[in-house]
Amino acid sequence: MTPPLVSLQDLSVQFCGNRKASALNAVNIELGAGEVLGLLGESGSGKSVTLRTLLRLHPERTTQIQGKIEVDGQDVLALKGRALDLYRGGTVSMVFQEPGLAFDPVYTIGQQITEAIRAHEAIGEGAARAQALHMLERVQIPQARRRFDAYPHELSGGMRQRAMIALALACKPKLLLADEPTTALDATVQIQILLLLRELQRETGMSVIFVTHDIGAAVEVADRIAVMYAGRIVEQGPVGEIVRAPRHPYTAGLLAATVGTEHRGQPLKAVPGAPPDLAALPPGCSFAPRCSQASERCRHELPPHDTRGSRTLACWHPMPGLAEAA
Amino acid sequence: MILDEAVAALDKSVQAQVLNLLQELKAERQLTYLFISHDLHVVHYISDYVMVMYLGQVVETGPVERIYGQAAHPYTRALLSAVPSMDPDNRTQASPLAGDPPNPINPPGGCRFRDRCPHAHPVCEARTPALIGLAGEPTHQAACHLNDPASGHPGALLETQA
Repeated sequence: MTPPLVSLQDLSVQFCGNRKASALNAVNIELGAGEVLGLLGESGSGKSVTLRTLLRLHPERTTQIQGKIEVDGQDVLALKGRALDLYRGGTVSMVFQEPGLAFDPVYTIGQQITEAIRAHEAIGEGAARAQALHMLERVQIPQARRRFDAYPHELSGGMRQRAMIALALACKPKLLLADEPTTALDATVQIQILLLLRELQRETGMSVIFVTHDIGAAVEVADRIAVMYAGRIVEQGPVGEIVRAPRHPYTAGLLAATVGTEHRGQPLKAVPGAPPDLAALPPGCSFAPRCSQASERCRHELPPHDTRGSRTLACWHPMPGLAEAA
Repeated sequence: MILDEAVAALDKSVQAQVLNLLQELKAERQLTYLFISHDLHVVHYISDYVMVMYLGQVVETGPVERIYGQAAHPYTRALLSAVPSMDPDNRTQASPLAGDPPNPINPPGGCRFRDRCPHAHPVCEARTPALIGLAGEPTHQAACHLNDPASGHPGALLETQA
């Protein structure tokens, strides 16, 4: 068996400022080449921290990282200097939620993509410009030649996000990290970007980690889904199984709280309470205070990750699976 | 009470709490809500009447079940089919609309949606469609030549018969 492209082993991240916040707690993720993982969770659950840690974007002085990150055979936490520069953008690249903030406002889209290509490859200005233009065409930007010389603010939100994807893919990364790439977009533009990402993933064979809090968006693009809560992965498995038969009460709650057409006129099944304070996590399962299934054990003992086949679950009292329910 | 994207920035589990709260308050205090949202599920859940806007104009308005069941404007239909599928075995294959909404500083003449509309016809450029009541349900109005047999759009009659 070939080793996975991405492997996070017991990854923990703590931010130390005035208070100490445990943003990630023993996260384990393995992702093969060409696989798409949807990372699902609410604000503060650690989705974006996972992506940023993968790119080593957190300030080293105030961040404590334990565990191991391996991407494409490289020990990411040990990378330094030029190797780290080449890793960022070359091996792993990222699409941000707000492309308006990720682009530099004083350079044109074309200049920025060209610069990224030249930082990673020893090629001339002209060849790099041609490659950059080709990238803009590949992400289906109409009139790419004209948009090449446009400044980020001259493009609409959907076009900017396409340009962001072109920039991220310009150096042919093996892993693309997408941090809520469609959350800020209109519904008709969102579906276009989702389809584009899926198409580019198939064409290039890259792996993708797609972070979202929209289950629908995850279902459209992901092969597997990992559900995060308070810095831990509580459930992981193939997308169809997670959506049809969630085992963790939090996953089930999240699915039940999603507004659907059948809910009109009835109160929604909301998950009561709010996510815990990351600086003062409860000793047991961090979802226990909001969980209807919680017992005394949940409040004191952290449930271990139980892997069965393709599914991983961290819960003392899982919901009945499809086979057991039938 | 005017609610401008009041639940858009919230996480799903908290969004459901706030929506429940809004429903309770409405019943308790007899409130009227003007609920602005781009989340189609939430609009369907909370509204009695829906007004669909495109580029500064109302393109369709009517009772919620009519809008979600028998949308009469091509933009409304595209919007409804742009909702991500919840079934991994039945993913969305083609995007219902291409491109972004045009620039409101210089909107297209005639029907403002015609650049992106699959049914666009020269008459859509020549004349701006008026918001008219639909046959059988006057509270359901749409601004599209397809719904007006007198508009001169070749697809109009077919649509009204269907």
